[in-house]
Amino acid sequence: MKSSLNIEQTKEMMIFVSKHIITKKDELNKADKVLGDGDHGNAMTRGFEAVITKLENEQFADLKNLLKTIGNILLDSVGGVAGIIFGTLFRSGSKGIINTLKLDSSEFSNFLGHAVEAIKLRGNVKIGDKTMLDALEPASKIAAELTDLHIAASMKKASEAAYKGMESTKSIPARIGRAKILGDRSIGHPDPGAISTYYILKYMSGYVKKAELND
Amino acid sequence: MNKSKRFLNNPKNIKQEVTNGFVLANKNRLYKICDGNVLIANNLAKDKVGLLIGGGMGAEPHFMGYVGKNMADCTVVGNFYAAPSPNIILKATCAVDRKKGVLYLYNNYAGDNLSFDMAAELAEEEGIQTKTVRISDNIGSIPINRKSDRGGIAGGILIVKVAGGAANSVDNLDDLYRITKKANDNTRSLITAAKSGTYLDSGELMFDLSEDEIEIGIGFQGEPGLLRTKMMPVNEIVDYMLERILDDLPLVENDKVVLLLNDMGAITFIELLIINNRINQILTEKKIFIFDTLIGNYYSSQEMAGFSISLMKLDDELKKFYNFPASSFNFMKGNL
Repeated sequence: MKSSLNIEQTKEMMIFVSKHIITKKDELNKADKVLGDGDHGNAMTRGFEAVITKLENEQFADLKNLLKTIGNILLDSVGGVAGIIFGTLFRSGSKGIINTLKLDSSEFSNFLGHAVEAIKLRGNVKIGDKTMLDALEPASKIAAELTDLHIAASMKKASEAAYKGMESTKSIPARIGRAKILGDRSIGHPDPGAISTYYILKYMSGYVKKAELND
Repeated sequence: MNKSKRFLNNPKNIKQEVTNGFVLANKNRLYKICDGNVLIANNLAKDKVGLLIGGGMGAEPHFMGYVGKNMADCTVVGNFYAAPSPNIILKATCAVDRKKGVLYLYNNYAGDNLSFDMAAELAEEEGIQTKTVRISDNIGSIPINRKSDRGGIAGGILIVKVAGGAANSVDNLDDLYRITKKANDNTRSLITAAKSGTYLDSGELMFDLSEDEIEIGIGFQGEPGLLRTKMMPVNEIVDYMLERILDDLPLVENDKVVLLLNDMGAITFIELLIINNRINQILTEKKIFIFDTLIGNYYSSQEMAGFSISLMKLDDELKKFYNFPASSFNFMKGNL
């Protein structure tokens, strides 16, 4: 049997992720000041605070429902384009889940794979456009190759791939969104959404590393 | 010098004051929900397909001016140049759905596409079927082989008019989608500006244009167009614009068109009539029949000194729905 998280642990993981994203508020605002309107940190904080409130007060019987609920909350409370994209990450990601009781490396890969496809379609973006997809798609690709591994190992590799992808957004000019008008002046700055995406995966991995998993 | 004087109160209250002002002028025609973010026509006809339009503020009287009987059923009002949020679009969708589905008709811009697509997904989860037509009449900067990337400007009003007529005649969403898509496919527009509008809140110019220059084909917020050139006699400008429009929308003798000649905010009726004079000369020469002419302020970019020319080619079906009696604040047709 591969290691996995049960629903309660997945919920705890997402509370853990949310609490850490909130601590990145100033960093994300600062990154967004260069490329956007400087409020990505505020928006993500608003969203993940709402996630914490919801998860701490509700029980979930199925993984799909837990992840979709997170997506709905992000959509509502982050607002704007980021709300739609991060809402889609969790909402559409949840549609990839097959086994609704435990999160193992296969389900993790299903989740990321569905999220990537939905975001590409919805945002009309591809790798290299300097968006959050530059962090998410490499993570999804590596997760798809590592479905035989334990969840902790798979998440660690995905988080590393997301970091590299996020770093890669520094060297490319923006093609879409408000940063588009900056063109080459956007070079040298990482995409704020890619930073957030990396942190989400990093803290998922951080939680799983410490959790007592079910074999 | 760059900051324009505007008649405002606290800029934070603009949206509230604008939607209030509009509803008060339209008491017999529409009402608002969601704090004025959604305006809905009174007494929606039963058992009809819904027609929902919307987008960010900034191009008034587009879109709110086109809600009413046999026009759009509702509009969703975003903030300035920002798409409305999916949740508000969803609420509007639920409000106008009469179990026959809802057509989304809005300008083809990235932010709007994201929001309306997201709303469509949420609506589907509520059991409401939607379809989407993105207005893409602006041939300004994007060639026809990338038509799906073109944005929407004043020609959208003609499309809303046809769609409004059709929504009250057809009995299923697929038909409304087909007719509205055809209206969009048959419509072309171009803007020429002599001077930029300004952002209402900051007073800053949206784009720079020298005192003696004009730009033909510019986007409504100053997106680069076809040609930046020295000011010239308006007939020459009109000739250039019509040539591009007719390249893009091939018309043959005896074709029928609707002409919409629109003030982008700060040119005079006098100028529009001079422009209309030239357009008629050219189209008459080509034996193209102008079925209807609209001249006025239908779609603005604040106080941009500029105008747009839109042509919609009519076939019998589009003509029928264009001619349908309709009543909205900024577009009336026939007797209702």
